[in-house]
Amino acid sequence: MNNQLLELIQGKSKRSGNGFILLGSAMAIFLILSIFSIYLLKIVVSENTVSNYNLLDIKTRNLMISGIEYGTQRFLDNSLISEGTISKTMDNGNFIIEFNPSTNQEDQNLPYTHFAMLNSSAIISDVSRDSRIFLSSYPNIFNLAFFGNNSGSGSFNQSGGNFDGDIHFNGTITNVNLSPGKVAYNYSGNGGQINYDTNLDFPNNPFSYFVNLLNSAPNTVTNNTTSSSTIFYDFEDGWQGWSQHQVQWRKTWGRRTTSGTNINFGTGNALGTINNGRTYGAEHSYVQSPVFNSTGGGTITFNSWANNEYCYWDAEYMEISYNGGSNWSVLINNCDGLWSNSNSKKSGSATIPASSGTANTRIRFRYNTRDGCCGNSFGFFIDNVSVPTQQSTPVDYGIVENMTINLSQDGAIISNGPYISNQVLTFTNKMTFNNCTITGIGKIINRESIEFSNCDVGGGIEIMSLDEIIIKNGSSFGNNVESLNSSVVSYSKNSFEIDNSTFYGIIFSKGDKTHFKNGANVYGAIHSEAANCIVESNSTNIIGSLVSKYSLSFNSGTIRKGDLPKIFGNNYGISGTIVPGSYLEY
Amino acid sequence: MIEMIIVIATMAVFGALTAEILSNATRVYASSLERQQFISEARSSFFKIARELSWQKSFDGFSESTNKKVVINTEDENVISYEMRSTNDIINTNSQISQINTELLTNKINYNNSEFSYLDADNNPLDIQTQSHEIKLINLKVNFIDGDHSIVFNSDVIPYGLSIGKFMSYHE
Repeated sequence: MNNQLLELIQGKSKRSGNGFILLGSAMAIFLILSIFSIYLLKIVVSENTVSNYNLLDIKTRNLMISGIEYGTQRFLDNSLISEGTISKTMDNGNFIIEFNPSTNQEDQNLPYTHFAMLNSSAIISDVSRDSRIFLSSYPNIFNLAFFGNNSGSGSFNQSGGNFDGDIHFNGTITNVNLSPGKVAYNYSGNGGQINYDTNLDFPNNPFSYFVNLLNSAPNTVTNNTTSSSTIFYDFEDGWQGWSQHQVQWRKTWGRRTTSGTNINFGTGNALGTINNGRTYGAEHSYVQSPVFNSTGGGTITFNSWANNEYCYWDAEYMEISYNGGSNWSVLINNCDGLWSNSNSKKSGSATIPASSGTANTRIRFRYNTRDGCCGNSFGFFIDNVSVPTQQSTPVDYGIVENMTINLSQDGAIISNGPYISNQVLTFTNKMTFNNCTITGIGKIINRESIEFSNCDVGGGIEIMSLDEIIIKNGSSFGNNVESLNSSVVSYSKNSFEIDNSTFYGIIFSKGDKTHFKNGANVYGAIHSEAANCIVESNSTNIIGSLVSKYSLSFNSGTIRKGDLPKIFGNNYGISGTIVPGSYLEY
Repeated sequence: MIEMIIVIATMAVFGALTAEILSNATRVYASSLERQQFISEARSSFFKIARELSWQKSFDGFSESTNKKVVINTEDENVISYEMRSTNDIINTNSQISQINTELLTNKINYNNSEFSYLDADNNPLDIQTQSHEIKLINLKVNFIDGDHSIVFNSDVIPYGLSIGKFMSYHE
C-alpha cells in the first residue's frame, strides 16, 4: 500500500514537469512570432518612409530653386559677386549658393570669358539637389555678334563682309551675309527670322562714370605764338575788302590806272575818285580798309596822288579807328602838306603807337570837295597801302613722341605738355602720342581729342575724351579679354576711329562716328551710340560683340561672336543678365 | 489531469492570440505593401516626369511634343521623352543612356484619361506644333489604375529654364 502511494506521487511529479516544459515552449513560440510580426510592421513603416522621399525630393528641389532665385536677385542687385558662398537655412534644410567666375560645375571653362556660374545646392534630410545657371556681365544684346537698334528707322543692307555669328536688327533686313548655320533675326520677319526673345533692349546708359571723370579734367587752354607782319593792298585784283561810304552829297570811288586828267599812275590800279568841280557837284566820302590787328603798334605806308584846292576847299584825310569803325581819329590832316596840289606820286606814312593798337583796327581815306568848285579834275587816289598786323599761331604742346610712359609715375611727360597725377595722364589740349609705350594701371583723360600712332598701350588703362579718340598705324591696345586688367576701356563723346591697329577691351563710342578700318582687329565689346558705325576693308575683324544704337555700314571684313572682358561689378553702368537656357540640374 | 487541461487551455489561448496577431500583421502588410507599391510607382513615375519637364532648355524643345508625348531637350544636350501609349503604359527614352535607352516607366495608367497640356501665360491651351514660343506652363495629368486601385495625379509644371528668358541660338 505504501509502495503504491509512493509510485503515484512520483508519477504525478514527472507529468507536472512535462506540462511546464510545454507551457514554456508555447510562450517562447508566441514571443518569437510576436517579434516577427513587429518586424513585419516595421517593414511597412519603412515602405512609407521610402514613399515620403518623393515628397522630400520635391521639397529639396524647391529649396534649390529658392537658392537660385536668391542668388539671381543678389546678382541683379550687383551684390553677389563680392560674397562668394552664401548659406541659408529654411524648411528643415539649407541651401548653399556660390558665384563662380571661372568654371562650371565640372570645373571646366565657362562658354565665354564674360560669363560666371551661379550654382545652388540644397539638402533636406538625406536628399540633396544641385543646379546652376550662367550669368553674363553684359546685357542680353551682347550675346549677339551684332545688334542694331535702328533708332534711325532704316533697313539693314550689308554691302560686304561676313557675320560669323547670329545678328538681330530692329527693322527690315534687305541684305545680309552670314556664315553657315548663323541666323539673322528681327521682330517682323522681313528679311530675317522672327525673334521671340523680347528682352533685347539697347541700354540707356548715361555713362556717369566717364562724364564725371571728364568734368574733373583740366579745362582747355589754347597756347598761341604771335608774329608781326603786314597786309598789302595794291588793288590789282579788286577792292581787296575795302569799301566806299558817303558822308555827304555823293561817293564816286573806283579803281583806275589813270587820273581824271588821264595821267598814268604807273603802279597799275589805284583806288580813288575824280574831282569834277562844279560839273557834278561836291563830294564828301571815304574808302575804309578791312579790320586788321595792330596790337603792338606799327607803321602804315601808302602812295597817293592829289591835285586840288589845297588844304581847305579840297580836303584829304587819313583816319584810324581802333574799335572797328565806331570812332575815328585823324592820322594825316588835310593841311599837313602831304596832299598839296601835285600830279605826282607821294609816299605817305603814319605810326600806330604800341599803346593804341588793337585787334579791331581800320583805316580810311576821306575826301571832301566842300563846294565842288574850282578843283582840278585830277582827283584823289591811293595805292600800295601797307598796314601792320599780328599773326597768331596755335602751339601744340600735346605731341609726345618716342617715349615710355608709366602711369604710376607722377609728373610732366614733356615740358608744357601732358602730365600724370594720381595715375591719370591728362592735358589742357589735344594729346598726340607717336611711337609711345604706355603702361598702367591708370587713366588717360582729356577734354580734347587723343590720338595714338604706332603706340603700345597696356591693359588696365581707361581712355576717355570729350572729343575723339584715334588709334592708328599699327598701335596695339591691351593683351587679351580675360579681365579688365589685361584689356583697355575707351570712351569717346564725339568720335572713335581705329585704323590698322589691334584693340582688346571695351569701346564706348558716341557722337558722330565709330569707325573700324584698314586691318583693324578689335577683340571685345563695342557699344556704339554714334550716328555712323562703319566697318570696312578686308582684313578688319571684330571678334566679340558689336551693338549699335543706330545701324551699321558693313562693307568688308568679319564680325564674329566671341569673348568679352569680364566686368562683373563694373563702374560703367553695364548691367549683367542671366543667360537663357543655361539652367541645369546635375 | 488538471495540470494537463490548464496547459492545453493556455496553449490554445496563446496559440489563438498568436495566430490572430500573425494573421492581422500579414494582412496589413500585404494590403499596405500592395497599395504602397501602387502609390509609390504612380507617385515616382509622375514626379519623375514632372521634375524632368522642368529641365526643358528652350521653348522649341517642345516642337516634337504632343498631348500624349513630351520631348525634353536639356542644357547638357540630353534628349528625354515620355510617351503615353494606348497600351496603358508610359515609356521613357533618354539619350544619355547609350545601350538600352528606352524603358517602361509604368504600365498602370488609363491612357484615355491621361495627357500633357501646353498653356500660354493666360492659361489658354496652345497648339504646341505652331505656338511653342508662347508656352509658359505644362499641365500634366495621369490616371494610374491597378486592379481596384485608382488615383489621378494632376499638376502644373513651369520649366524653370523657360522662366529665366527665351533661349535663342545666340545664347549658346
